[in-house]
Amino acid sequence: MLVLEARKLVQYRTAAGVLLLYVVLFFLYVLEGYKLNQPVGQAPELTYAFPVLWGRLASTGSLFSLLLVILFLILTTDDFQYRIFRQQLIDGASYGKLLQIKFFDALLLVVFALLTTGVIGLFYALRYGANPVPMATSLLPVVFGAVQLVGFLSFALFIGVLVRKNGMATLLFFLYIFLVEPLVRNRVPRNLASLLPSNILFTLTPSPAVGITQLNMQAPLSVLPFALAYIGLFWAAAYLLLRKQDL
Amino acid sequence: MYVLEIDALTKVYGRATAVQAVSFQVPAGSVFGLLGPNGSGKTTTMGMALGVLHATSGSVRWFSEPLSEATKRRIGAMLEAPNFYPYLSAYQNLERVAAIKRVAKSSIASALAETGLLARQHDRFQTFSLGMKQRLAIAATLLGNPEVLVLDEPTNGLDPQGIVEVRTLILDLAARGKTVIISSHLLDEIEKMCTHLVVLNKGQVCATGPVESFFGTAGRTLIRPRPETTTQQLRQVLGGLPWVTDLQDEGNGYTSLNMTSGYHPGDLNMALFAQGIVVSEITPVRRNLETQFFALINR
Repeated sequence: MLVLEARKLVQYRTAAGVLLLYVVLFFLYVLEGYKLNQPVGQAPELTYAFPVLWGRLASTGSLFSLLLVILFLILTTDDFQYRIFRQQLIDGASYGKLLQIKFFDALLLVVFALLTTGVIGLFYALRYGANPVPMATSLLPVVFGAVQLVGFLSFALFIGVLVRKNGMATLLFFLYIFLVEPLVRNRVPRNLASLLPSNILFTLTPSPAVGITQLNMQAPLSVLPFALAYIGLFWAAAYLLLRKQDL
Repeated sequence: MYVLEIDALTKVYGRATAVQAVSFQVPAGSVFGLLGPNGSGKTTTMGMALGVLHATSGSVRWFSEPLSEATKRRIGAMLEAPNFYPYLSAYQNLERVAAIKRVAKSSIASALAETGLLARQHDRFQTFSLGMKQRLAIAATLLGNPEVLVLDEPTNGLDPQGIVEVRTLILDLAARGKTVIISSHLLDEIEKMCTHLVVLNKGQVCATGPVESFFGTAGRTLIRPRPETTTQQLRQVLGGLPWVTDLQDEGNGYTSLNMTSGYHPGDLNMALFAQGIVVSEITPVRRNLETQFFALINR
């Protein structure tokens, strides 16, 4: 089914378009945006050097991963629109199997994001970087970036199953991330605000302006268990919602 | 033996009751029709039977068991419109169905051949005509060689040629021993294909049974005596038979009448002969399904 899902993504023009856009924007942003947003006190030749480049790429990837979230919302709501979930259930799939197929979609998008990050990182580091030797430990931000993407995709799945309509689901997702949660964060105690889902997920990747000396993995490590808990929660909620609904 | 037993199935949406205490059984090997006007609860009933709609109350048993993943593999079903990814080809869509049903890919080609789509297997679903989409949906139901096929409005939107093709295919499948359950609001289709029937209206069962029982024996009978008997003589004799009612002159020497249940044209012939009247023709007028259907839903 993983292979069939991969083929489906390639054949779907909307999906292929979004993936292409993701790569092109990511590539161009690293080329031009990094020069404009040079961290204070950092030598220009270090912009594309390891290990800090991985941190910056994870941060940039976090920005463009929202494109992948939109695509995942489309893929999820498509399954309601084309009544694929309903037909798969009729054909003998369990509710768990339906979500397993969506998990494959999410997995493919995460792998795609990782590959894009890796290729862009190696391309720029080898071409422009001062120290083109990737260190294994410096890959950690990219791994956290992948967890962050899984988190947002999981939240998108929950919203998609809840709303079922593509436009509404996309609107609701971004309203929550950029409006509702920031408003809630301002009205609840600081320790509680820091535990809200999008805050937890955004904490997994470093700030876009991170410099070579500022790459700190303590914050992402401390929120990782919460991020994983949210991922589990979103999938469980989507499962229960799917079971409860008429398809 | 029944492949499907539906007992007191009810579906309530808020204040609206879509299906109310629907009960019927589908005999194995039958072509079973769910007949009813739009909004009568056919699709809702089938949706509950197939487990995609949650019943408010009542029970569904397939092959004498509750619906499960194992029983679903013995059923091939399509509900409402054909459900496929428009941007994938016919073959790729069936590949996905085969993966879900855990059926070998090799069976895809035969299902496509059976539905006449083999030559178009690599074309995208979105390029198909409505008839081809319906046939692809039937091909999907055939994967895994299920014992029962459930087809919701299989001739919906088809042109006359497409209707004949789908009907021929369904009758062919039935001839091979498969139980076929069809929902439709097209009386003619049901009459031509089905052996058994349930009539739904406003979410309730109006009648169920073998199709012949819907044509009934309580229809009118046409009678024409030999020329030497006048209409008046005939009416006089018939008027003396307590089980004959509602005499009407139909012209051209024909008289129509109703007989009380339990009496047959042979009884009429004998009674008239005993009175010295020889008839040249007695014809029971069979009610068609349309007459019966409207009689049932307007009851």
